[in-house]
Amino acid sequence: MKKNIRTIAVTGKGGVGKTLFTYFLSKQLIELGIHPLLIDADPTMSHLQNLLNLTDSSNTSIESIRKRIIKVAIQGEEVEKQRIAENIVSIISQSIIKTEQFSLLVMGQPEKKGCFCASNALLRDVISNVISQDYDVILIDAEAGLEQIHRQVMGEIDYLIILSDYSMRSVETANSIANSADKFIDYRKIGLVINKKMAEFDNKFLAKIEETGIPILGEVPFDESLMKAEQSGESLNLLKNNSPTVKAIKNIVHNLFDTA
Amino acid sequence: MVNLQEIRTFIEEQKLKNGIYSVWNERKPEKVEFLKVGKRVWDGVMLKEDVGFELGSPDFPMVKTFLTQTESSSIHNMRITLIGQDIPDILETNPEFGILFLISSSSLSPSDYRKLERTTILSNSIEGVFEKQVGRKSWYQISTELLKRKLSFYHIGSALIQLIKQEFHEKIDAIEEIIVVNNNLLLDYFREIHKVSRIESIKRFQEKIKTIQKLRPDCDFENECNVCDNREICDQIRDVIAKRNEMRRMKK
Repeated sequence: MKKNIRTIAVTGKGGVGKTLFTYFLSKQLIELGIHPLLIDADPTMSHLQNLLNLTDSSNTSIESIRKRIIKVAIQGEEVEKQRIAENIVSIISQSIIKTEQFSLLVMGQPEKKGCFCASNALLRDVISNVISQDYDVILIDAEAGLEQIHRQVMGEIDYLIILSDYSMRSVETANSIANSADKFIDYRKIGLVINKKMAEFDNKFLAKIEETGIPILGEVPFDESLMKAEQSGESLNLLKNNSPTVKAIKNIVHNLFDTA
Repeated sequence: MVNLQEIRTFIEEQKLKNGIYSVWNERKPEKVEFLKVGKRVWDGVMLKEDVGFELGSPDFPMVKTFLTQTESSSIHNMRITLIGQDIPDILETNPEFGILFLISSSSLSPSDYRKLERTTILSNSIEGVFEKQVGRKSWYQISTELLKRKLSFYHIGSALIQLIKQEFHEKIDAIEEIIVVNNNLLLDYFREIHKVSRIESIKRFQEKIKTIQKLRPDCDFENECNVCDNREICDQIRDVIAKRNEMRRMKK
């Protein structure tokens, strides 16, 4: 397995299936015996957390910790500041929801207006220290956008996966995301995954992808069994190993980590 | 990318062709009593009547260039090579002059390169030697007093090494200087090296800018904290960061 791929961020246009993709990616990692840290960076709804059947974490999200830091800073009391300085590592560690197979860190929704750069710097430093020690693979569902990821979690990503569906607009968004990634974060590799593929790509679509310069990492076909499971609210755990989604994502994991 | 071996070969050929040269190999430069060296050792005021001699001129400015690399084995630490005559033997008033610094370091940051250039601008760090600057042109003025004491290029060269070492301490592994006087071919060669290393330095600078830009998403005001309403809160958080850093240092 490639040891140099540690941090993977999944991003893309709204509705292309980032959270489900991240979910299945994490499943494959678990199957390989990896205990991944998943970062749910959806500021509005914690879809990933719901998919994983975990309880509400609004009190343990990074955003709630940020609020706590800002509150202490507003009060400006030396004792409290010292307490935060002493305990910030354990506060962040405790905010990570740990299960036997994976761990989850929820970013939460920013409420306070203003960037509070210093709080971001503090959080980023602690988070990267904590997670770099404890986890082999960090998988980010980057719904919030790369800017937010950079602000609160980390500035360096090993593999940036941009998800797109079979539409020109989605590929255009993928291109904008790649451009914005160049500006905001340090990533080492980038790859495009076409999700919910319903037909063979036509030349125009392929030309559009080529224009972006983003290499194709993989394709995930449209999966009726997945759609049905989603419609009926069934557990996605029941999705069979030979379902097109599971098979395709297994291939992508092989491409990512050379595990074939 | 400049190739140090090629540069050395060319300089060595020219040195032998020129015939007049000196090489000072020193592990520890001797302390020269009459030369005061260090930050702000004098007020840096050189009146016209005090100037005894000039190295370069506004028409033929000095060439000062730096070549840095990470590999230290190809640099003769503390060696000063002079190609041409030494100061007491030079007959003309404004000889053409250039100096090439070969430096090995694996830890110089992009801002250190600019600092390196600044360190060797002699405004008040070698008493009696003043770097006169007009625009981007510069040349050294040497006081009559130093000339009387038989100032040599060895003295200026070791003083410059001393200044760089003082400023960068352990960051620099080895440093060597090649000084050229009245040799147009070599001075043109130094100018070419300067151009190439300048491009490399710009590249390094651009890399730094890129890094800074990548930090900008952190801030809604492009790091202009002065216009931010939350500055006081951030200052308090910075205090928390300082406390945490202090604790980490103590643990080490």
